Amino acid sequence: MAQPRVKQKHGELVAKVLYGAWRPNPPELETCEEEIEAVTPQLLGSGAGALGWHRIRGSKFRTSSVAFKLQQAYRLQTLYAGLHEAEIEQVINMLAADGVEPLLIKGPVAAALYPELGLRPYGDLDLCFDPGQHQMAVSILSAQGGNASSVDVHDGFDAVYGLSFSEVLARAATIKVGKVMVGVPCFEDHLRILCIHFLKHGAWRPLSLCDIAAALESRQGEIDWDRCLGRDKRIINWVSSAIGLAHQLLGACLSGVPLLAGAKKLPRWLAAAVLKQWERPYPQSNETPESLRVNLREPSLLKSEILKRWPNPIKATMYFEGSFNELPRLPFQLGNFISLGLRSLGRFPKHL
Amino acid sequence: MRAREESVPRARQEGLIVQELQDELLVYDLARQKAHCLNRTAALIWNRCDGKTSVEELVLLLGNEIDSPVGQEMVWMAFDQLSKAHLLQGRARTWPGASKISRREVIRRAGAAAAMALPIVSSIVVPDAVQAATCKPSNAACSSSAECCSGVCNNPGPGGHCL
Repeated sequence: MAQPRVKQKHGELVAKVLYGAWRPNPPELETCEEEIEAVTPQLLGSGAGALGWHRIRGSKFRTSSVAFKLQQAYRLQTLYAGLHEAEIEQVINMLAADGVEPLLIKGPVAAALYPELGLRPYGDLDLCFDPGQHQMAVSILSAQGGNASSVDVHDGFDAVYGLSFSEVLARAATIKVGKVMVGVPCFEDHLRILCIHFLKHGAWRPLSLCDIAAALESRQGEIDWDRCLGRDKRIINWVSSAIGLAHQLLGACLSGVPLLAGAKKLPRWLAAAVLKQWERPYPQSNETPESLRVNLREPSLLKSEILKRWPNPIKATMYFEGSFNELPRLPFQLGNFISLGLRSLGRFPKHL
Repeated sequence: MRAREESVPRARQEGLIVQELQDELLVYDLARQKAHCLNRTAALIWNRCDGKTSVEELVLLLGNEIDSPVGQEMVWMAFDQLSKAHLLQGRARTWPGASKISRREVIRRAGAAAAMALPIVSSIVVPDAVQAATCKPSNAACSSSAECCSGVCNNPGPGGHCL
């Protein structure tokens, strides 16, 4: 019987395939077809299929059957990029007609960091509004019905980012989408948003770490690191940790990045926790305590069901806005599990 | 010699998103929500479907552009595929030759070298989601808690929204 050739864990393989994948000319990938095939579900499921194709399209694997799947993802995403461009243009024009000025954030802005738009997919158009204009924006977009159904409307920035909308708007940059110019956060604010967003969602998506790596390597001119990091020690810790992960797991170049203690010396558990997340494609990795109620009728399954839903240490840390350090994560995880369970407890009697 | 006199069909232009890659053309049909990939030969033919050029002229143009022997069968084969993908206007037109056109027949007539230049229009289908969003914000509609950033969907199913 032939020995399986896939010896590395899937999370490590995902990191291996995506190493430098955001560059116009990614480094040569030393692997075998079986390894690529083993992580294809993870790549496709997390939106990194096209990057996988970009990494292997210049290699001997380009004609393999597994490469075909990744290439199809790349083709489809390239088309979706064209679709989204038209949508963004339409929505921005619609809002501008009523004097509402949003900032485009997250996916669409991150996609512009890659050498081709089709390499980085995004589903929704994330638009952030001044709290004073938020309700008006909702009304305008609601009136459009289906035309604006893919817009995610954000009322300023979540407190966890430590950014006020007016400050971000004041130093915003612009990018051209189709025929319109759209405001986007400046490099420093955008990098902070990418880093915190990645950790806030439990680091489950390798594509988000590629975004950080692509941003770091796309920087031009002098970067105001004080602006990017701010003064809040926790935010400095989060941004530094995410940058350190992009370097350690994906090979992001840190030359010119000032000495960030957090980036140089990550807690020992952190990279392993990220790779563990990457072993499973979305959405299995996001099971929550809420759905546990279904299984309370079968106590024999309870232990395995709890383990399946046990919060990942990164998401739990961010839930309580903790720092990434060598201290045990158990208190964060326990607190996160109980907290989420309690939030849905009100519905238990209906289902038991 | 009906085929020689016939003009090429007209390419459909409305309701399509077209993206050009290095050696292929991608087309998304907004009405049918289907994506197609045209290889270089199929793309060259489709781009020249103006309703005016004759089939014979197209054969000559194509031969020059792909630097490979081209017969009318190849062009008709492309029309057939483009028509099935709803990328041409008007009614479908069929190969005016005596027998049904086939890939094998085209290669037999034009030679093995032409095999590489055969027009191909394929559908783009991806087995798994390629656009997984990260998670839904507060108040967004949800059908399960796994979709929400908060991890809690307050009423999973229709009418539910993320906390």
